[in-house]
Amino acid sequence: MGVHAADSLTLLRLEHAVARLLAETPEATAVAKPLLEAVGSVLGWDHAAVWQPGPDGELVCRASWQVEKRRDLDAFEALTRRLRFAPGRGLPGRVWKSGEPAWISDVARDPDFPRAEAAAAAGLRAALCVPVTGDGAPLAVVEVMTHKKSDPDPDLLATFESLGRQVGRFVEQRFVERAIRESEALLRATLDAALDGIVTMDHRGKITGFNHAAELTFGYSAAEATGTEMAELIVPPALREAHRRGLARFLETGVGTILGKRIEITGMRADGTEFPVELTVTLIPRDDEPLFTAHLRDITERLELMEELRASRARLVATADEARRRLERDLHDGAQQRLVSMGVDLSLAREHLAAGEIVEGGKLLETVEEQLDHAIAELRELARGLHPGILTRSGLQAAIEALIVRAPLRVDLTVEPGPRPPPATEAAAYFVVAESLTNATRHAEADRMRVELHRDDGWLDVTIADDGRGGASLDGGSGLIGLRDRVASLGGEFQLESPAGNGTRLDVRLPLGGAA
Amino acid sequence: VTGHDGLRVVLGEDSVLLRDGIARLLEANGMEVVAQAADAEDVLRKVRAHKPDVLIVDIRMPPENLDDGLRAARTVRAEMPEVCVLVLSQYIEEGYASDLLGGGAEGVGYLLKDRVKDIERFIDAVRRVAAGGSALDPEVVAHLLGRHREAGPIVELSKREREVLALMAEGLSNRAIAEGLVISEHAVEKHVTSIFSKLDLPVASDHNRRVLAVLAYLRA
Repeated sequence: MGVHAADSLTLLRLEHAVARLLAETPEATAVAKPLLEAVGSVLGWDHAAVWQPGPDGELVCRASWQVEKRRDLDAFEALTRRLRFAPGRGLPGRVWKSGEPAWISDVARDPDFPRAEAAAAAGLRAALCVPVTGDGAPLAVVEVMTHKKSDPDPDLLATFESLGRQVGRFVEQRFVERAIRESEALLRATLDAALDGIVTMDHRGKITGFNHAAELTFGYSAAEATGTEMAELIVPPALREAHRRGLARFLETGVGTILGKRIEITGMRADGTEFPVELTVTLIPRDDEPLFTAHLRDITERLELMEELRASRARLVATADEARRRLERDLHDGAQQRLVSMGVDLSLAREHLAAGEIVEGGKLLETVEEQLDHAIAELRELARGLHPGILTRSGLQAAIEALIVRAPLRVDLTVEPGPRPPPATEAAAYFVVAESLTNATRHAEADRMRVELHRDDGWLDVTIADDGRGGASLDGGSGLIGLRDRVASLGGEFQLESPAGNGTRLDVRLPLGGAA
Repeated sequence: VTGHDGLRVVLGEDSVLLRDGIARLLEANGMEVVAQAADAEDVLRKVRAHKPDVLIVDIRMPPENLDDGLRAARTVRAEMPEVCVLVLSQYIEEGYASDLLGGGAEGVGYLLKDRVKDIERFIDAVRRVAAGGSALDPEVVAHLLGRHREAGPIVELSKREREVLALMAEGLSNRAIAEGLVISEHAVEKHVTSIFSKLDLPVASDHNRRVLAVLAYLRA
């Protein structure tokens, strides 16, 4: 009875050792082994082990310690490592299930100690097992064994119980801390992977977070940005006061005019340049002062694209209007005048004939016939300019061949056969070739031209190259910008290469649509 | 074809073909084309030089090819009220008509270009304008009448009265109206009196004044 009861000094040393260990160990998972060693060596016992439930709920030995390297102890250790205990079975299982400490004075006499034989061989007799409990639920059990035959020691048991709770709380706390750390790391990784700049700001207007995209957008590092007033850092001077007033008004009244809305404002980079930003500010309500998260996106490129699109649309409209004006002028100055004039001549001829003046009447009728031929020819030319009839009737190749026949330069045409492209694609390809022919003869003074039409997986590739003067550009009144707009409106591509003195090459890619 | 009536005309039209045709037509009807002009500036120069009885001018002419001819016509009316003006246009535009009639309809005409091939009516219009009357294209008149279709005293007019009103607005004399509608001049007189009474217009004995009253009423 109580032969080897631990004295109070030992208990104190044990408590100190565990307290120091917990204070010095950063990770919950790393605490098991040193804990076993501290407990075992302070008490002067021989073997210690920690048990935790595996995935199937059976207890598994997670860590163990033995006082010295000995073959008989090694065998016991190996068995300990190998065995699994269902809750309620063996010493660890029983303690796990009951949540109470247990003391076995001599394991050889215990009815439920499966390792009794190996323990006897290693000279182990008494065993002490306590639960490590966190917030109510057991986390693990710790088992300590000695070669001495030892009766239950209430003081030691009480100390162990207390240490078990202490370790449990420690482990639990470390787990929570780790979970928080991991969640923060995840959040940071998410923020840094975000394409939008994300800036958080506290109620004083100071920046508390600045993700990677924000660093790239504004040219400040997160370290530089954090703690600085947001208005000072990324809001242009002219807008700062409004920004500060907005924040003050919200804090005062709880009414935020921009919260949750997508707005476009001007931002400022570290080098002082300003640029358009799309901004959404969200409120993060908290018990104390609120936080604000701003999602920012540099929309310079988007606005430029929109402007380019708007300009291109305006050009398309202007081109169409100009074409209509030209058509009206051609009709007004040509066929209409001719027809009225023919009417006059016919009336005069009638009067002459009625008066028996056959010769004069006949002359006038001849004039009318001539004018009629002219009017017909004019109207035909006009109609062709609007839309070449041959293109509709006979397709792209025939229409281009008809252009080439009239062209004053030599043209080599290659057309890859295939089903007819959609009308819009045919028309675009036709006008690209027609305009190129006009430019090559009128401006580039080319002698030869190559025109190739190939099909490539849903696209019609038109390549046109001449040996003229080059130097063609999209500026000025060249019809090329109109062609580019026409191609762009179909979702196609348009590439012009025209170095001065070295010919002009135009590569145009047009969609074949379903006809591919 | 007909005798020489001595009307002196300056003709402004940029299409050579049509200008020649109209000139032939006028001369065949006893008028004298004293000058031809191919742009608005030339028109003004030649009108100032020749002081013709009538200027016949296309609205759209160089140099700007907008309403250069019309502007020249207005200048002529302001500078030389004794020169009457007949403006030809490819299209009827109400704005042009109001512009032209703004200074009164006396000695002013506005016709669609197509009308020239109906030689008799065209020559008649030229003579009417030259005599200080007016010649308004039926299309312009139709527009003017159309504005009064919904409400007002015109709704009270009989079908025949409306026909007479339209021809009056074109500038036709009672006799021409009678011929056009194949009724007696006396019947035309009766319709005119009734129209003036229904529209509450001041009665005038002079034909031109009556036309002006009608136009003023329609344009109001």
